[in-house]
Amino acid sequence: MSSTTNQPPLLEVRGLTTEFATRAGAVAAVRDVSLTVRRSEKVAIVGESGCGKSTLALSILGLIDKPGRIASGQVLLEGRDLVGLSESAMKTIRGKTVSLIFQDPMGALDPIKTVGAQIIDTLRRHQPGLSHKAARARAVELLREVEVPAAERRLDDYPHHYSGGMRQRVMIAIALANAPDLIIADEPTTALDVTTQAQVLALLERVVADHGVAVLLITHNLGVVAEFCDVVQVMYAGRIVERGPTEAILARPTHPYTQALLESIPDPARIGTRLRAIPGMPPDLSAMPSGCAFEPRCFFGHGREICRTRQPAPVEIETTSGPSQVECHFATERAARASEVAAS
Amino acid sequence: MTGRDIPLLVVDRLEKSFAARSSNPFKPSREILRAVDGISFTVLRGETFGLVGESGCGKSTAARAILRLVEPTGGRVTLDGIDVASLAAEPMRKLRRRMQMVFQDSTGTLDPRMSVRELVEEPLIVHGIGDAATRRAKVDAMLELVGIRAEFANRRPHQFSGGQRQRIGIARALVLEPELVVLDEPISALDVSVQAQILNLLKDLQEKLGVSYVFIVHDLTVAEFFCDRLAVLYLGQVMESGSAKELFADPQHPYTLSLLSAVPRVGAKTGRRTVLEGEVSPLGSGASKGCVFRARCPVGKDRAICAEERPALRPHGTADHTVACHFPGELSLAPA
Amino acid sequence: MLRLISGRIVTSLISLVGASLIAFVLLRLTPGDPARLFLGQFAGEDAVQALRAELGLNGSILSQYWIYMGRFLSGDWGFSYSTGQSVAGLLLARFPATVELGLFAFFFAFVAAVSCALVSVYRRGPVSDGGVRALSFFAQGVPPFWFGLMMLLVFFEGFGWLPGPEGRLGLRIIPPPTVTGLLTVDSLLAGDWTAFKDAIRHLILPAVTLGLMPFGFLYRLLRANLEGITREPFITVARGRGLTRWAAYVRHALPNAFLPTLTAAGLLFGQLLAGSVLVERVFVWPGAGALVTDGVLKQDFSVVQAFILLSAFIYVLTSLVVDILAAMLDPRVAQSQGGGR
Ligand SMILES: Nc1ncnc2c1ncn2[C@@H]1O[C@H](COP(=O)(O)OP(=O)(O)OP(=O)(O)O)[C@@H](O)[C@H]1O
Ligand SMILES: Nc1ncnc2c1ncn2[C@@H]1O[C@H](COP(=O)(O)OP(=O)(O)OP(=O)(O)O)[C@@H](O)[C@H]1O
Ligand code: SF4
Ligand code: SF4
Ligand SMILES: [Mg+2]
Ligand SMILES: [Mg+2]
Repeated sequence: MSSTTNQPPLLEVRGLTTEFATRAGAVAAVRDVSLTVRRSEKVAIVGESGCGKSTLALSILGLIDKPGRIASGQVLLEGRDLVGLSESAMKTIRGKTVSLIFQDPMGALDPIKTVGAQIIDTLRRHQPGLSHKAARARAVELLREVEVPAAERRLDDYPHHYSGGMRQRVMIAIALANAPDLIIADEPTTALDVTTQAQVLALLERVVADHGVAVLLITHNLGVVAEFCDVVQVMYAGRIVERGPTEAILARPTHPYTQALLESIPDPARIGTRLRAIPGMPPDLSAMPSGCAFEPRCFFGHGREICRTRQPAPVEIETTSGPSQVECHFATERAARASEVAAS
Repeated sequence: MTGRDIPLLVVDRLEKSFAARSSNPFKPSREILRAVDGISFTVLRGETFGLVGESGCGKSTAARAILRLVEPTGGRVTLDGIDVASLAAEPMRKLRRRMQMVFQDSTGTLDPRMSVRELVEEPLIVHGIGDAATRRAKVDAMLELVGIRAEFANRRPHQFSGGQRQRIGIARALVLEPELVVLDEPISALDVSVQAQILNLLKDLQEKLGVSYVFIVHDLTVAEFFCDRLAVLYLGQVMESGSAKELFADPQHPYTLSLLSAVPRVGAKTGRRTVLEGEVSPLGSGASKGCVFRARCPVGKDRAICAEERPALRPHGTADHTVACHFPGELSLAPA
Repeated sequence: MLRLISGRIVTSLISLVGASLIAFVLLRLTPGDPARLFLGQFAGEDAVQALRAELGLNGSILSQYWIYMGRFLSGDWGFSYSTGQSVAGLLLARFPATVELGLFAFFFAFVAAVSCALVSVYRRGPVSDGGVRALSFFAQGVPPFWFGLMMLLVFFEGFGWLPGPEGRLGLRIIPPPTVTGLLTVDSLLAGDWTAFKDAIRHLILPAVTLGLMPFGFLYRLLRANLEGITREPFITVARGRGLTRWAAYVRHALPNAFLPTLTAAGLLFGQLLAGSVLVERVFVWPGAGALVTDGVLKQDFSVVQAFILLSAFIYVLTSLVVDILAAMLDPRVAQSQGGGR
């Protein structure tokens, strides 16, 4: 870790492993994951469906329920370990220091309580001194801030009166309510169409800048990562396989998975050709390959002895915009080759 | 495209309206919601025609009206010269074999109690095609084509991933050897990597079988990559249409440009964005005169003619590029 | 909402007419001539004919129904020929006891089902799960009269904690003046604390016995709903806002899980009233149940018919109230009536 200050980072996850008990025994959905989020930093976690992004997010907030459990590791929030804290200790952190924005805009709000009631409840839960009237006024302010038209009137509407995009704005308002230091946003725009996604992202970008909040953004859309985040962590089968500055990693991915993910995006420059899809499917968590988890699908390492048998360790790579870490046996070689290509 | 330029599908001023009840029970009012408001386009054999637009702009309704899964309230749809709306029940049933649909989420359309083989065989049985042996051969060939291994054919839908279920949905539609398949957001619910697999699959199948697609998407990058020609819809009306190449090289309509700029892309820096404000609000806009896009249009919001006169679809430049705007080309994507 | 309610009232009226018509026709089809039964074996044929004419028994079944309903609505429910008393008087004297028992049984079933469902979903352990599940199977399977007897054996004979089968009040307690007919309410109105406590003590065992089956049913329904709702994203989001898991379950999961069970709960309450006969027997409860069993055995038409009508009325009324309540509590119902997506 190349931390320049001696202040602890806002969030530091160390060696986190989260398991689910299944009939086939315990499967680890998150395997030995470490990551750091500094103040006001925008960090992305990208990866395919089922790779453990949501599990990681929920583990950080201590929201993993049976049959899941955090098997090992630490979640340090400003140096304080959250793993193992009781519900009553966590409830003062959730919604206050760290808040959560959830994917499904249709299901993330209680359908039989008004939007206002849910915002006001969030406010008063963490600010016991706040009168109902003051909380209501603050809720209107929050709705205005997230650009919900006619905020005062819309406060007493139920979630089903809101469109998908408007609900996601409400979620952002709730997340901002108690001036958090960190917002964990689990696929906040995945269910929205492109224009609404652009609106919601622009809003999130603005409020995050205004309040100096750090964001951990979970998505499978690399375009969103490119536009929104400073740092990206690429996740595959429960592990972070590549991390570093967004610009460098998206321009010159070192890990074969990152490269394959980027190449599977339809690129108008290659109309008429086939897309470079990643063959096969992510591995079954209860039957992981013994070597590199990506080996069966890897265009680079598939069939290589070392990839089949040994799990790669993280390798530090220097990029133009800072250091990155890559979990691949051929990381150094591939990085060198990539910079040769770039130089020529 | 030589030799196959006779259009397979002709959609002519298609309309579908719903009677929308107001949500205020104490003030009942009846409004007409024009979900599809006079759409025309043609689809050639072996071609992919795209319908793009925001959520609620009427893409699915148009698809359903074309296949007569809902009765259109106006206009004509002809498949290979046959007027679809005029058909009685039995000839309609026969025609259905020639036009099929694939949905965004196949899960809902796959009976969880049936095996994959039964699911793919069902349309053949419904249309009385072949005996058991030929049907089985057809089903096995189709499953292989969509990349479901034969040993999985006895599994049930829930034992497959979302991408694989979408393959099953595609197999079900294509096993009847239709000439036209309407794909309603077939990849929107899937991962990027799986999206690529399905898009490749659809391209391969089109090459092998010569089928035409009507392809519904809201992601313009995918439309640009996948469609030969397309129409951009807003509130049930065509704003701009043409060949994908032309339309994306030289977009004219402010709505097309806004949609394009909304797609977050790797490798393109921000700043070029014209974030579209507001939302699609289907009620009350269809009846009024003027341009339907006016309320959200960065160009025509305050212009008199846009409020007064509905712009007709007019050809722009070469080929079949058409635009419905009084001020085409005024908005551009030049970096800010 | 108004449309919903008025529509619901119309269907309620239709079901009332339907239920009364079916009951009427069925009872008329059973063998036996009511006029003959009333006058006895030795009455002359002309006397019987005269009575038939007076009772309106000679017309078509529909006209008979018409006459009967006309009288019923004006408060004339006929005479019980086995006792010679007015049916209205007989039933109204005993119905409140049945209603009071039903209310308490329902209250018990409801509170027990909600708490058991919440706790078993919250704990998610195999022990609490299995335990409560066994209890609910037992509740739905056990014969009420046997269970009632067992309860009496344990709590009355064994421990002597609760009164035995002696009706609604102890022998030495003076009943409060009748206002509603519900002893608990009347004693409170009269400020008679002793009578109130005694009435409650007498209600416990029969109410638990009668409420056992609905408890099992409601519990399983509620639990299944709760299980589903607790996996909804808004529960996770509520916890992310700072609610503990328990608070999120109680404040967000429970109301959502509860709404769809409301209708079933209303129907259960109707059934409780009609189904209390056996329990009333065991606890010597002076309710309408005994009256009706007697009525059936003695082919005492007017009693049975009035009881069926009265039950149907209460049944339809509760389900009406419950449906309107559900519509008012669920903001989405009003919407689904008014179009939208
Ligand atoms: N309650 C559970 N029991 C067993 N396995 C689970 C449970 N919850 C999640 N998993 C498994 O953990 C893995 C990671 O799931 P997770 O939801 O974190 O993925 P994700 O990356 O968020 O995917 P998506 O993009 O679909 O949301 C999956 O393989 C999933 O099957
Ligand atoms: N059966 C119906 N009754 C009334 N209105 C309807 C009905 N079906 C669709 N609509 C309305 O018609 C409009 C167009 O809907 P449609 O589903 O065609 O949009 P879409 O472009 O497919 O959107 P999405 O991207 O969300 O699927 C919407 O405003 C919708 O509310
Ligand atoms: S370690 Fe081998 S298999 Fe794994 S990503 Fe690197 S090259 Fe591919
Ligand atoms: S006609 Fe006017 S309002 Fe409509 S799109 Fe063109 S400029 Fe905008
Ligand atoms: Mg997830
Ligand atoms: Mg649609």
